[in-house]
Amino acid sequence: MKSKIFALMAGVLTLSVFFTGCQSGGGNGAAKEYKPASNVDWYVASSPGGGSDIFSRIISDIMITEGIVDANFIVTNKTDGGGEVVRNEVAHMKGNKADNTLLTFNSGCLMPMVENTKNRASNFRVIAVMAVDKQLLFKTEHTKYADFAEAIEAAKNGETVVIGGSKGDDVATYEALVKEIGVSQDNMKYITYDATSDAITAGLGGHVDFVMSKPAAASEYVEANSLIPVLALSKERYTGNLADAPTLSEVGEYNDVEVPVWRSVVAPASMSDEAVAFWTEAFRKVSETERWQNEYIDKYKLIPDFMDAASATDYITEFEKNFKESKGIQ
Amino acid sequence: MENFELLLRGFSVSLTPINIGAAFLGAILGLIVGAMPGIGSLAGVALLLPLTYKFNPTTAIIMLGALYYSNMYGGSFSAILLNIPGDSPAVMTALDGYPMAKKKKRPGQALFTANTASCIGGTIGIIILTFAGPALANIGLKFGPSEMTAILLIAMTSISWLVGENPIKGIVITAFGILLASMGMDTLSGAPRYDFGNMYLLGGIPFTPFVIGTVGFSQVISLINERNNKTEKIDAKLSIKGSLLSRRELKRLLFPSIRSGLLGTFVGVLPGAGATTGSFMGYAVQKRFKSEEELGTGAVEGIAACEAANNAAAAGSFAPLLALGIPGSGTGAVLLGGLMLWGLSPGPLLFQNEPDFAWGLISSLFLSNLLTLAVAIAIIPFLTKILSVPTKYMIPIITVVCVVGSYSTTYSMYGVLVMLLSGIFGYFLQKNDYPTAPMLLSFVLAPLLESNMRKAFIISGGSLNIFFTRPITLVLMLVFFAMILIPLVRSIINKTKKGKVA
Amino acid sequence: MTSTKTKRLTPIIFIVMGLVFAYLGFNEFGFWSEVDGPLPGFFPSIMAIVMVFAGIVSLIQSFKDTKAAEYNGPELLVVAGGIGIFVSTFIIGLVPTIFLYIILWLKLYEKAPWKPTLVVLGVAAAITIGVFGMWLGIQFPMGVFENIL
Repeated sequence: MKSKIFALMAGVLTLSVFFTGCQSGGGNGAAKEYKPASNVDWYVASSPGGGSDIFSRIISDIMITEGIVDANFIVTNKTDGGGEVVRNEVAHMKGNKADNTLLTFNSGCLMPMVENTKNRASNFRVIAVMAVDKQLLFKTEHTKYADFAEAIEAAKNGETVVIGGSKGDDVATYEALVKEIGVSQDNMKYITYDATSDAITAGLGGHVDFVMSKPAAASEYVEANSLIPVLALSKERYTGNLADAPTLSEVGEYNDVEVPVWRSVVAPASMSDEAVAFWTEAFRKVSETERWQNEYIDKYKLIPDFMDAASATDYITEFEKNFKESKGIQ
Repeated sequence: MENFELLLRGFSVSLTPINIGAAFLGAILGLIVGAMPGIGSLAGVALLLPLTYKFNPTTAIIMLGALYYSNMYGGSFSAILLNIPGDSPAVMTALDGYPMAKKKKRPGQALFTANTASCIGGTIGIIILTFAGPALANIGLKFGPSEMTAILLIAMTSISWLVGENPIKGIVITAFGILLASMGMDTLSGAPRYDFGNMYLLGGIPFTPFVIGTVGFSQVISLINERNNKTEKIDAKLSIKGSLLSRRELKRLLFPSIRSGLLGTFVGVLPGAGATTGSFMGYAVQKRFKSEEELGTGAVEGIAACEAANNAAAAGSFAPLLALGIPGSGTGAVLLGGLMLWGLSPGPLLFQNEPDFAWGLISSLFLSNLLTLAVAIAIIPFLTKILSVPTKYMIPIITVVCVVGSYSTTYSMYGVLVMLLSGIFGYFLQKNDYPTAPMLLSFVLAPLLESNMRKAFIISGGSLNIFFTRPITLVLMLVFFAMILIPLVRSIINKTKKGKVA
Repeated sequence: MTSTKTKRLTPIIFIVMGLVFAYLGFNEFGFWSEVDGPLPGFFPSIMAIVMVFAGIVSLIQSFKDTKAAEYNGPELLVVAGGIGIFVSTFIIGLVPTIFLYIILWLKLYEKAPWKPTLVVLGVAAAITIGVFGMWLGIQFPMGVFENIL
C-alpha cells in the first residue's frame, strides 16, 4: 500500500513539475553572442496598474509586436517590503537567470532604497533610461495667493503655505525648492500623499494651497481650469497649456530647480556584457518606434530621453551621489 | 431630467448584443475572481484588464465595470460558505453570513440575502451616481483631512460593539491591530517604522493574507475537530426556490439595505474610503438599529447592512472617478489606468467630451448589477453543495486555497508566511478568548485615521482648532462625542437609579 | 491538552510587545513637533501604552480565570501541515508541494479511499493551476528547480 503511495507521489511530483512549466535556459554564457531565453523575467516593484507597471508592459509589448526581441516576457509585480525585496533579489542574481532578468527602476525607487537599505545603484547593470518627467506647481480657485511669488513672500513673512504632492520624487523636488528659495520647511510645508491624485483631490477641495504634479496627472484639470500652473520645476518652460508657468529663475532671483524623475530598466550586476549590449540596443529600438512615442510618451506627456547603458549608468550614478550628499548618507 | 435623458441615451449604447455579452462575461469572471480568497477587486481588475484589450473602448470599459462590480458580489461567497472573506469588504459579511449558513443551516438564504442586498445597495448607488454624481463628487472634495479624521473616529466607535464579553481583551486586541498596521513605511515622513531591520517588514503586513490567516486558516485549524461529525444533510432543498427568503425576512432586509445603500454611496465618494470602509460603517450603523436577531448570530439584517453598503460604495466611488478623474481607491486607480489606455480621460471634461462613453458606462452598471444578481442567484444551489462536502476533505482544499490565495497577493511566500503566522496566532487568540474582529477593523481603519489626523495637524500647525472651526468637521466631532458620551451617561444614570431603588 | 498557562502567557506577550513599541515610538520615531503636531511615533506609542495597561488588567483577570484553554493534537497537526507546505515550497516548489500535501494528508492521516483523494487532487489542480496559474497568470515558485531548469 505504502509503496503504491510513494509511486504515485513520485509520478505526481514529476508531472507537476512539468505542469508548472519550465523556464528553459536559452541563453548560453560560454559563447560570445547573447540570445535571450524563451522566457525573460521582468520585475516591477509596484502594484499592477500603476505607472511603472504600464511602462514595463508597453515596452515588452512593443518589443514583441515590432519583432525587436524574440522572447516571451513575464512581467511580475513584487511589492514585498515596498519593492526592496525584489530589488535586493535582482541585484544579487547570478548565472543564466541574471542574463534574462530585467527590473523597472525609477528615481522614486532609488531614493527609498538608498535611504532605507544598503542596496545601491552599483549593484545593478543599468540597461537604459527611457524617459524623464518633471513636475510643476499648480494652484486652484481656493488658493489665496495670485502666484507663487506671493506665496514665497508670505512664507518669508512667517505665514504657512502648504504644498501637497506624492511621495518619493516629489518630496525631493520640494526639498530642493525650499532650499533654493531659502524658506524654512516650517513655513512652506509639504504634505505627502500616497499618490498624486490624492494631492490633486486635496487641492481641488481647498485643503492645500498648491499641488505638485507631473504633467500627465494634471493635464485634464488644466484643460478644465481646475488647476492653474504657477511654477515649472524645470530649467525651461513647458509647452502647450502649461506654457504660462514660469520657471523659478523667472519668479525671482533664484536658480531653476529641477529634480528629474527618470524611468529606467536595470538588470542584475552579474548580467554579461553581451547581454547588456543586446538589451540596450533593444531598448534603443523601442525608443525609436512610433508606438512608443504615441502610446506612451505623448499620452503620458513625458520627455523622451533615451540613454544607452553607458550614459544611463553615469546619469544614475551621478543622481545617486547627489542624493546621498543631500541626505548625508554614506 | 437632463441626466435621465442622457442615461436613456446611454442605454441605447450599452444595450447592444456585444455590450450585453461583454457585461455578462465580466459579471461571471468577476464573480469567480471575487470569490477566490486573496484576489480582491484590485488584483482581480488588474489581472483581468488584459482580457478587455480585444474590445473597443466602450465595450471594454463596460466589461471592466461589470467585473469590478461583480467582484463585490463574489467576495461574499467564500465569506458565507467557508468563513474566508474573498476580499476585505467581505470581512463583515462573514460575521453574520457564516453563522447563518453553518449554525442555522441556511446557506442558500444567506447567499440570497447577500445577493439581494448587494443589488439593492448597488442600485441605490448607481441611481445616486446618475442624478447627483458630479455634485456628490464635489461634496466629497470638501472632505479634507480634518473631516476624514472625524468620520474615521465615528467608524472606530463601531469597534466597541465587536469586543464581546470582555472589553479589556477587546481593548488589548484593538491596540494590537493598530500596532501591527503601523509597521512599515510611514508615508508622511517617508521613514520606516517598526521594521526591525527586516526588508520584508519595510512594506508592512499585507492585509489580505493577514485576514485570510486570522479568519480563514484559524478556522481550518478548528475544523479538524468537526471532521468526524456526519455532515448533516442541509434540510432546505438545494434549489433556488429552497433558498428564497420568507416575506418577513425580505421585509427585514429591506430597510437595512436601503439605509446602508445611502450610507455606502456617500462613503464611496469620500477620498480614501472605499468598499471596505463602507461595509464597516454599514454594519456599525446597523448596530444602532433594532435587528430581530442579534447581530453576529446569523441575522439577515447584519448580512444585508454590509453587503448593501459595500456595493453602494463601489458605485459611489465611480462618482469622483468619472466626474473628477480621481480614483477613490487602489482599484479605482487601476480602472483609471484602463480608461487612459483606451484614450479616455476621466476628469472634469469627461461628461462634456465623451457623453456616449460616460453614460454608456453608467447605464451598463445598472445592467451589470441585474445580470450579476441573476447569475449569482442561479448558482446558489451549486455553491451550497460545497457545504455538503465532508469536512475531512474540505480541510486540505481550504488550506490549499488559503496558501495559493495568500501567495497571489504578494507574488511571494511572504504572503503565505503572514497567512500562516496570523492563522496560528488567530487560533491561539480564539483559544484564549480574545475576539479577532476588532483587530481586523482597527488594522484597516487606524492607518487612515492616523494619516488624516497628522495631515490635519500639519495644516493647522499643530493646533487642535482645525477640528472645531471647520463646519463639517465640527458637526462630525459633535456626533462622535455624542456616540461616546450618551451610552456612558445612560449607564451612569441607570446605575444611579438602581442604586436609589436598592 | 489543556493549559491555563497560555491564558496568562497571552497578556504577557501583549505587555512586552507594548513596551517595545512604546520605547521605539518615543525614542526612535519622534513624538510631537511644535510645528507639525504628531510625529510618526505619536499614535503607535499611545496605543502601545494603552495595550500595556489593558494587558496588565487582563493578566490580573487571568488569575481569576479557572477555565483552561484546550488544545488538541489534530489541531496542531493542521498547523504542522501548513508549516510543512511553507518549507517544502522552497525545496520542490508550490504546486508539487500542494499535491504532495493532499496525498499525504488524505491517505496517511485521514486514511481516505483513492477516489475522493483523486477528486480533491483534481479540485486543487483546477483551482491552483487552472484559475490562479493559467487564467490569472500567476507564477508559482519552483523551489530548487528554478535554477536547474
